[in-house]
Amino acid sequence: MNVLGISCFYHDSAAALLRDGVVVAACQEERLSRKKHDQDFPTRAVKYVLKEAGITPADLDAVGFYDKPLLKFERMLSTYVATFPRSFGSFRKAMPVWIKEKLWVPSIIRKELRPYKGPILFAEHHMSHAASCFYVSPFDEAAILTVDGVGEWATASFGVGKGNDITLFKEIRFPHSLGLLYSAFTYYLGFKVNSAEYKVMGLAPYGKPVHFDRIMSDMLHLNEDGSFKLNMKYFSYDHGLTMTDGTFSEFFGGPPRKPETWMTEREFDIAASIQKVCEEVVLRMARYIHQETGLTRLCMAGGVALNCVANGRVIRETPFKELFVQPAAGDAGGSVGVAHYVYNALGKQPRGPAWSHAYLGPAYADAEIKGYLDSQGAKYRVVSDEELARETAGIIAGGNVVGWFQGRMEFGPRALGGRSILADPRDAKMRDTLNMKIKFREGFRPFAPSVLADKASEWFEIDCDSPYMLLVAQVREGKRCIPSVTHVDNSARLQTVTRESSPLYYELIREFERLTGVPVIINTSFNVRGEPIVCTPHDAYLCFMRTNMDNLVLGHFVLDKKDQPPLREDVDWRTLYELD
Amino acid sequence: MSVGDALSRLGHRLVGLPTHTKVLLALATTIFVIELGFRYLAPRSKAYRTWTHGIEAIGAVWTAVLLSVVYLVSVGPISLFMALARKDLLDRAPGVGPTAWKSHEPNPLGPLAAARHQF
Repeated sequence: MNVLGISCFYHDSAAALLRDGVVVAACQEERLSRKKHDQDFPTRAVKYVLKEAGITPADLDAVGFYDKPLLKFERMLSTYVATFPRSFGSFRKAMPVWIKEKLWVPSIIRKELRPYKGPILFAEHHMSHAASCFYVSPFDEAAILTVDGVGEWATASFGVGKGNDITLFKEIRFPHSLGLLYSAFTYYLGFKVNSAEYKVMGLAPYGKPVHFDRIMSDMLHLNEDGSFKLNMKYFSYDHGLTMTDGTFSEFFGGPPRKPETWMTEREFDIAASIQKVCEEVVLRMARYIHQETGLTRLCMAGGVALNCVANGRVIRETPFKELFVQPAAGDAGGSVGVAHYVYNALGKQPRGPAWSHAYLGPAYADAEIKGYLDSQGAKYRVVSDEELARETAGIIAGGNVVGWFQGRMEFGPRALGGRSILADPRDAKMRDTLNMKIKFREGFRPFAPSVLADKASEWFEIDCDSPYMLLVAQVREGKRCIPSVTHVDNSARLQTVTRESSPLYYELIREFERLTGVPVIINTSFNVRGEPIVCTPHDAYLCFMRTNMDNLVLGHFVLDKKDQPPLREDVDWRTLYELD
Repeated sequence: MSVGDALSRLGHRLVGLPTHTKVLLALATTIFVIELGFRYLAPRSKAYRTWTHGIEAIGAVWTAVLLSVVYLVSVGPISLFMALARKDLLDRAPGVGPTAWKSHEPNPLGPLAAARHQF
């Protein structure tokens, strides 16, 4: 049975193909369209997942859409009524898009999937999130927590998954939203909403949470059970085109920071404060859910589940013993969720195997890579399987920055060793080099380490796996010789790598350890600021040539920047990507 | 009836139309013909791009006008009624109770039937 899951029309559109309960392929549209957070119908991603499965639209048994458009429309109309006349700007901007596109989802799907004639099924947004984490988790029974900006009405929900069934018990409804609260601060701090929330999380350790008590007492009413209501006088996202307005600015004694301007202690403190609030809410929710369900395993999804600092505290400070966070916890993961919901919950089919990795995107054979490199006149060396890891580890240990392009692309926002930029974490200057000369991004942003899973607890204060880079842990005191991946508060957002999930990447880190004694390397996404992570050899080669990366390893082909002919471009690539 | 007769009858009907209707009809026909002409004869020309931008700008103005009317005529009265009835569709009153969790109501249609609908 082939089920296609689709998420789109808000942000991070994606498609996933499920065959007999197993995800054959899943891909975000942005990787193929090269438009960051692309929200359009995922035409290219659908085409890719069908091709990967070797089928046509006619072979599909069902198509699932990740939310209920009419319920969302009802919420919007209710909001316009409740906030009249301040909502006029928002109404005028949103209605044409709804009338033209969002109200016609079934027609659009049928048009895009011609000649498909089967059913189109809709799941609630938070059910899609819940399904996206529970059905691919290793747990037969688990509590489920989903927290994001907003779906139809729900902004957070919890329930229980057992076997092939999910029941959601309770929810918090719009406009009271932890995701939108965090986004409001993201906006106020001068970052892009629905895109740069992780920057606020990265900024937080530089400051002190001096506003925590004021936020907790004035901006939200938080209950012991983690539920809350926001004081909407501080926010304008319910009626306006911005997240906050004058009242919020008065609260913090100044206007929002202008994007790309200098940051001061004030911004650091605000970031630290909202991060602490977010953690406090999630912790209380988790404790309450444990109390209600009595379960010790938790699955999390929704955009807020990408807050790995909060996730780390959940596993350390709540009674939950095991935690599974969906690697594509945001809306992209909804495509996987709805496909599983259709197959497992509605179709009452047994569950397939749990995910052991997130490599669900396109792969390119050596012949394709060679053909491309030859067409560009690129100079390369071909290395054998045995030499690949050793040679690359040597290049990294020599202080070089390497673009690493291997196998299938990752699904979700993190690069996990399929499309990564790798470097030596022992070099204290490497963070600045990567930020300024390669990624062209803000200097404060930390880099994440990939560590051999069997050495993780030796180097970091963690006693569980973090295969999807969604947990933060402290670097152990005696192991702080990896300054480039150690944040200002001695924390690191780590990825644990096992031989089973990623044999070549594991081997690479092991070779690096042999050379240096350190089983850790820097792993950052293979892109520049504002660019979606590279997908094809062409994307990778362009990114390599445009930046100050030293080497590129594409499959078995090793390229040295010094040997390459200059790139012929008729546009300034810096104008191609909008800064995030 | 022959094609000639049909055209003749159409012509007579057009002649009989009021002047302002004739002007509007002529305008619409001209726009239609120009659009078709560009599409088939010069789809990539600068003139067609300029023409499209112009038409889109007019469309944007009309969209704004129509949406303003819709907003005032439909959203306004309902909002007023809700305000008089002291009902807040967004439940923005300050939190006072021990919990803000609300029950997740399963769809009365049942899971499979509910999934067939967008609501």
